[in-house]
Amino acid sequence: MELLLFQLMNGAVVGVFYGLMALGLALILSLTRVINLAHGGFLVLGAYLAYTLLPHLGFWGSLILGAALLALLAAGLERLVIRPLYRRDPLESLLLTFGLALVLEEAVRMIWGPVGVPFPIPQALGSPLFPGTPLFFLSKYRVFIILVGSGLVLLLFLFLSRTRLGLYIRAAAQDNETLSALGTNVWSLYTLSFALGVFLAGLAGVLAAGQLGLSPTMGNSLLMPSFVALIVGGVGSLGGAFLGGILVGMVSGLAGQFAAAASEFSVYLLLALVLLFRPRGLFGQEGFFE
Amino acid sequence: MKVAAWFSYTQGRWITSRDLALFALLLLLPWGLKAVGSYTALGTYILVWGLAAMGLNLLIGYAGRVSFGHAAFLGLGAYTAGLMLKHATHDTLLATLAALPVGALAALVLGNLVVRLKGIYFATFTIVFSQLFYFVAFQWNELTGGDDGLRGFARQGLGPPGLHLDLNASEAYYYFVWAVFVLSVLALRWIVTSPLGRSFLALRENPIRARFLGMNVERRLLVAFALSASFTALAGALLAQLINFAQPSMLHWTTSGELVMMAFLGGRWAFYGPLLGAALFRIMEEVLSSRTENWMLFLGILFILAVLFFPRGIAGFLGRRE
Amino acid sequence: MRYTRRQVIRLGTASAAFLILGEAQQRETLRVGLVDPLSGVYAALGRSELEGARMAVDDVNLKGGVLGRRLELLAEDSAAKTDVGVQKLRKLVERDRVQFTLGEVSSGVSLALSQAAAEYKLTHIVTGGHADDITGKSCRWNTFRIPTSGSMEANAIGKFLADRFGKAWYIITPDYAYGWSLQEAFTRVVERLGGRVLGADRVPLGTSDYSAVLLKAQRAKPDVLLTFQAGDDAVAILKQIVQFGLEKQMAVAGGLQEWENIAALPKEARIGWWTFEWYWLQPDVPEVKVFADRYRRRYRKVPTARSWFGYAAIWSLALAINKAKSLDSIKVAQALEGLELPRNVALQPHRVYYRKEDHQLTTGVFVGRVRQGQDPDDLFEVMRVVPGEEAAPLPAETGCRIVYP
Repeated sequence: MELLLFQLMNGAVVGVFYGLMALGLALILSLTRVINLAHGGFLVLGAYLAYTLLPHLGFWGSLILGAALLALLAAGLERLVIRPLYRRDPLESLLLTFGLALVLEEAVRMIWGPVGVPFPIPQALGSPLFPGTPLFFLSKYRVFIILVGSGLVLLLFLFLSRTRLGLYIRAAAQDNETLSALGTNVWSLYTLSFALGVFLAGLAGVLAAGQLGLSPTMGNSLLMPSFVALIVGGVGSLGGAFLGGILVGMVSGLAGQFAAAASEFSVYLLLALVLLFRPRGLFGQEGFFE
Repeated sequence: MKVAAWFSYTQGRWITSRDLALFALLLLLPWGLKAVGSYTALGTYILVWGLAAMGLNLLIGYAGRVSFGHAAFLGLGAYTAGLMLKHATHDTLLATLAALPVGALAALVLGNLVVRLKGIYFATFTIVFSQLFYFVAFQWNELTGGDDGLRGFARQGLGPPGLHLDLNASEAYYYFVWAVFVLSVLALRWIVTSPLGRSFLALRENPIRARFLGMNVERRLLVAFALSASFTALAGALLAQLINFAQPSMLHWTTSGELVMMAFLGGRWAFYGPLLGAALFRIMEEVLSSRTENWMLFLGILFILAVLFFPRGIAGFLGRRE
Repeated sequence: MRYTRRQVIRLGTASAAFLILGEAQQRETLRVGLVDPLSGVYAALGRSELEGARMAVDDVNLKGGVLGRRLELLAEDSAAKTDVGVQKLRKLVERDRVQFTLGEVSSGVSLALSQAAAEYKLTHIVTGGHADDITGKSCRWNTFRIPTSGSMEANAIGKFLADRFGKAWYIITPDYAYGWSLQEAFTRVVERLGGRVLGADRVPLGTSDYSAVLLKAQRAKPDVLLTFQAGDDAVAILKQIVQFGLEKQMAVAGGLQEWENIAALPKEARIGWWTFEWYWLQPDVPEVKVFADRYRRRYRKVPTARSWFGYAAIWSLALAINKAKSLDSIKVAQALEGLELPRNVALQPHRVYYRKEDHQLTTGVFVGRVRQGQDPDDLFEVMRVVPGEEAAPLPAETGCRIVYP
């Protein structure tokens, strides 16, 4: 029983990383119709920015400010190189982010060196929650990741559903032409959503660095499951993307209990099952991608 | 110079004097490479990747769907050839040709899941599905050798005893690849000039209209997908025998990205565009990587600039000037 | 460093000639090609090897080069991909006319490079791959290996762990050929010592979450938990071991550990009992200090085992060529057989030479404990250097048969 609990918990932790990534991807995709292949690169860059800020701001400050700086950079990049492509062949934005991924990975290596760097987590979070009991595996940092991750997502949804700006974003995701005709500046909404999506990737990066370690290639193992999460959750649904991430994480965690090698495959099995019974993903909207 | 005419895809004839000139030029390529201080295997490499990208471009340039998962077929072809040579046959030709049906079959299975999708979603789903093949190659150690790759096979000679052609030398293998390449180009040209190939263009330009005209759009797309995949798989088989190895990285999604980039760089609306793109890509990579450890940065920047300023690729750029 | 008058004169003439002849002299250099991952997951390791090799090239040239010719090193990035690596080796050979080749970190690519170099009949030194096969079943006349094999690591640390902590072991290994061979080797060692393996889990490469297998290990209550993860995976599993507090319940140990991995860990996760293949602090060997100081001045970081691989590879070649008095690959390969590295190249306490039977360098295995030392870069306490002769399996057991063409 506690084994099951343990696996679900760990699945949820990884799931938060996937979920934050997938949510960022979905946010960008639903407005700008860009699949951001550089999302993994942004994740790593965000973590390294936080690492640089760490001695000055401490863990909390660098967690937020690292991701915020990254979002700022992303907004600049969006204006500079991605915006010219919105009305062109989707192939072009895809290749652009592919090139951007190469640039980001190598830039990180040039600035911070090819050797990984130590990313310490706060002393207070470094120990088990109930040491010495059978629940020793509930480490504080893991609980922290789940709380912070879901808390931020909750905030994001509050922002989207309760504020005027959030309303505009949701409207733009539905029908940007009408919105534009009504006199809204759709372009800045695009920039905002791109920056917001990358912000989430940056957060995932900082949280993951404490758990997995920080190196120029740490984004590699997180990117593809996030794409699966995006599809499982249903393209076009933001909540679906995050839940899809949690689900993907939990399924791979549970499968890992039986055979470590099964955890990657279980993710694809999940994908196949979901698409078999719900071709649009769990929360996908009809006609969204057809 | 009618450079651009070489690249136009609408020309109706199956084969022209320009094609023959290109084949002849490629025939002389090993000498040319030596003359500029380069080496034959680079030519082979370019032809192989060119073929893979031309196969992919049947889908991108003609049917208007971007597959970001073609590395799966490249790798599948490579492992097919490798496993055949290792366990089943000592015939390089057979091992190479076996990639065709394997690639087509895999594409039919995958294709069914994606033919209804458009644009960016088609690309997303193909990335994810192709990654499944990557994991199989990466983790099925007993069959594929896992991360270390499949080894223990080598390309064999051609023909019966007596008329035996040894392919061990770089030049000999180049000409084998050249022959496969030329035959594939002829087949590709035949496809794109046939009514079937013309209907692919309708898929790209106006699928709704095509549907009204009674075309089964999904089935037609599936055919395009399978044809495209089998050429890329064929290239994979050639690649495996070029280095006598097959490795999971051949199936990785970033390799798919490279293939798409080749088609794009050369010009996806030109028949030979992807070949040009493959040559440019591999040469750029080679020049950059022997000059700096940070070549990825520069390659990435070049990609970004190319996307921003040469969206129609080199062929398109040259063509517009004419 | 001291030079004889003769060397100084030779150097003087050589550099004068170089200035005058310029291009012509350039063509007279002896070219050596290095293929190593400079991008991708193994970039840190590959770049360390390259740095060590570059330093050795300058040293060799300062001492008059090989057969009176300057050495020139050409490096290419394999990105740890086989096809790219082989293609780069071909480029080095066919275009750049290198006469000897070196590389690389990944075992799979190392095997491929060894084969490709054999097709050109070139002598090749493996600077980083650890699979037993390289100097075992897949050994070749042209291929020599500097790093240890998995079996050597197991033999070196196995008894140490059993004596100190106990004979009930649990193994977590990456799921590919190298991981399996380590699992087999350690299992063999512990069973020979009368202990047993309580459980073993094979985890795919690139796994980020190890909690499932760590919990299984914790429940098995072993004396020693062995992990064989490399690169990013090693960093992830160690961080998670410490988060769960497992290091307080059992000894955490393994085979090969890299300085580059430990440096990427926060202080609390710098733990465990491992083998290093070389270490930059060896108080008993004065030559090491000289080398490390020079390296630090040049690159502003400490040399790692990988740096030493690159350094030793170039020197091995230079020494063998000078010994053979020929550039012919077969003659150089024969000169490498049994070649003993001098102390200022071997940089370790014991005798180090290339075994004739399987072309494995009998490099020492540094057994010890990871911890933070006085110097911020001192992360490892060497407790024992097991001579390579003692750690390596007997030549008859390797399955290697060297056949010259």
